[in-house]
Amino acid sequence: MLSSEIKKIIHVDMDAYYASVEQRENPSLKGKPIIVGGMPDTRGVVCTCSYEARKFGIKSAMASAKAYKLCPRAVFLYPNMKLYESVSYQINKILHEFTDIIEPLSLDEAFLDVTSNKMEMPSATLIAKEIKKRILQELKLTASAGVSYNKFLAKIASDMNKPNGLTVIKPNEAENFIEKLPIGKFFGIGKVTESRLMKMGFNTGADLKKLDKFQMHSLFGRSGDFFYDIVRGIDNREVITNWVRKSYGREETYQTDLIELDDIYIKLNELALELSELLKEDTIQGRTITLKVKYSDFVTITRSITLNDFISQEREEIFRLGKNLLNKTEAGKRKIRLLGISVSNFYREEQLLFQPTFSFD
Amino acid sequence: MKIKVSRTAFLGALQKLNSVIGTRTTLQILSHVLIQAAENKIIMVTTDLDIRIKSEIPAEIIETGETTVPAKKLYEIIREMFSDDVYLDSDANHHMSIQGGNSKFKLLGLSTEGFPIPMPSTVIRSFSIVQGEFSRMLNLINYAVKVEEDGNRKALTGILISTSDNSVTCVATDGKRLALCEKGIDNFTGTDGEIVIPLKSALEVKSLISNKSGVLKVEVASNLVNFIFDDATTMTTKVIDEVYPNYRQVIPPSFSKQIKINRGLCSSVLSRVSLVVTEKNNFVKINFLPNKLEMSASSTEIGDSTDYMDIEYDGNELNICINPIFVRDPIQRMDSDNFVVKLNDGYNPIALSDEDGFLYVVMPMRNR
Repeated sequence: MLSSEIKKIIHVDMDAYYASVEQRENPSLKGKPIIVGGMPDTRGVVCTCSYEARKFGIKSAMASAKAYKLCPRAVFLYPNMKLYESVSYQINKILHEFTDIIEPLSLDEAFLDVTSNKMEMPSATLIAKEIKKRILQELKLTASAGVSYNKFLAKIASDMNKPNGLTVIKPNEAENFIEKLPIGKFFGIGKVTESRLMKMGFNTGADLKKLDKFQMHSLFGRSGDFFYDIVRGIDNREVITNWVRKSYGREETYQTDLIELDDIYIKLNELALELSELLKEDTIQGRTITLKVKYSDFVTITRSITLNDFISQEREEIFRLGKNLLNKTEAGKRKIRLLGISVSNFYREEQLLFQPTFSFD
Repeated sequence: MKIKVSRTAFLGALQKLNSVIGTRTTLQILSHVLIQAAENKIIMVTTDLDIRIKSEIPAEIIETGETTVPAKKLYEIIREMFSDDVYLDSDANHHMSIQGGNSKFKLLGLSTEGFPIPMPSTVIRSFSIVQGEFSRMLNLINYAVKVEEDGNRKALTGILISTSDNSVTCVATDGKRLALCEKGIDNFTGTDGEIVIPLKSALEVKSLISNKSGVLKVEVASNLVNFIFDDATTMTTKVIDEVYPNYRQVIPPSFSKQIKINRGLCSSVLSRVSLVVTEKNNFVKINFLPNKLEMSASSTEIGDSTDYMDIEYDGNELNICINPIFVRDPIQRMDSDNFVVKLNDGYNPIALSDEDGFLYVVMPMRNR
């Protein structure tokens, strides 16, 4: 690989973002276990928890009730999304001083391509340091950054030394690094896949590297090629500035489990109406509709169907298709905790173009 | 009132006057033409309350007087007659007899009392321009007017006529693209300023132009504009009483790239490529490559297309996505062999211009 072809990618990830913002806004919360998310007496979950809370074994996505059991003196706060969004906007402004090639992944993390940057700084590591410094000075928040030559490695690097970390993976270190990487750290490998792979004897990147493309496909399906490449440190995904939303969806965790099919239909109809409004708002249509069902034992399944034509934005149609998908689940037989419905598979990216208008005073 | 008038002159005037006569008017008098016999001429007026057309023609006045008669019917009668002269004779009951050759008609008119009188006004500026030039200006811009009446920015449903430094600028925009044409004017009096007239009125001015080399005098008052043609026809229009947005601010102050394009070639490449464009995929991709202008389009329902033409260009590759209708309009309306595309990048407004005062600015389409 020519050195001119090597990209410089930074992954910036805010530390315990929602909780840190809350602690910044209210100094009396500093040093305390903070849980932002649902209240413990509801069936809500933890969105973010402060590092003080993590010491008790609390993690994001954990049921708030369980978090309460682990740490009854934790402070529970409802998320203040408006606040997090405005702080996120300020972070973005800082990032944009370095490059415009930014791909935000959520309010608190983003990829930056600094191969050529506004500061004309040759060292991505120095840029990452500078970004961290600026965020700390101006916003009183800490971020962790990962620096490498592709998105996969940059993201893994940012997670290495949290909080307030900075990890660099150089091209010549990548191979050794990936081989030692536990498979759970690989992008796209969740808890379920992780335990499945470990049962099969795959524990690290080195184990995965032994597989050929065919075996990768049988293990990861359509993502086989992607995993074949990333265990070899190859990830040619660009940092996409104009992030195009891949799916529109609505889901809800219910206060009491849904048992009767009639009740499930009512809830599904409500979600279909909300989704219909979302789709109409952005005048978008997709061809795939996906139903997500989480049973009371937390086992989650999805059922989807892809049509030849675009799915209507009307509630009636979304509900009708959702109902068909529901027939392929154990709804009515098993208790349901969460229902979700989403539409994806939109027209190609450039078909999402819109006509801007002049901004007259 | 007794008049002898040349049939062809009378018919010509009636034809112009009839353009504001609607088929369904709530006020009966608005379907009538006011005829006044003065010294050696007849003065005729029609109005739809927004536009007022006045036409004068020489005539032999045997007895002065005035009346109103149904304009469409009068026009049809005069058109079908074949004598050289026509005799009009109106009595106190506004029954008008029309005679010529072997034909004789009687038309039932109405009193002139109910006919709308002109709005009082004070001219604040006036200028002259060659009629053909003004017609060309309007033709280059009128398609860009905002058509939908959504209650917002009513000024955009009209055409701006702005004067400064002995020139007139006509502007139309629908908020997505802007067309502008600037020309020198003569005999300017009064103070520089802006006025907005409805699109309907601008189209009426265009259709009233019969002598392209003749002079058009424009008189602007705060509440109306008079267009005075050299054939003794005057059209008066109400104005849109709303401030026009500051259109200059949407024109980029400078362009890093200016590329000369053959208009005919570009027009045919564009229309070929646009064949696959649908409502859902209403854009064409335009790529400026070294010495090559490439256009492509695609749609999920139909398929795709690509075509190119040679240009002189040695800059960086540039891509823009654009609604083909928004570039087709100006390209078709221009009358020069070549035009110039001016742009900076694929996101900011791009401009098309000719060498005769025309400038068109359009926003490229963007990713969500």
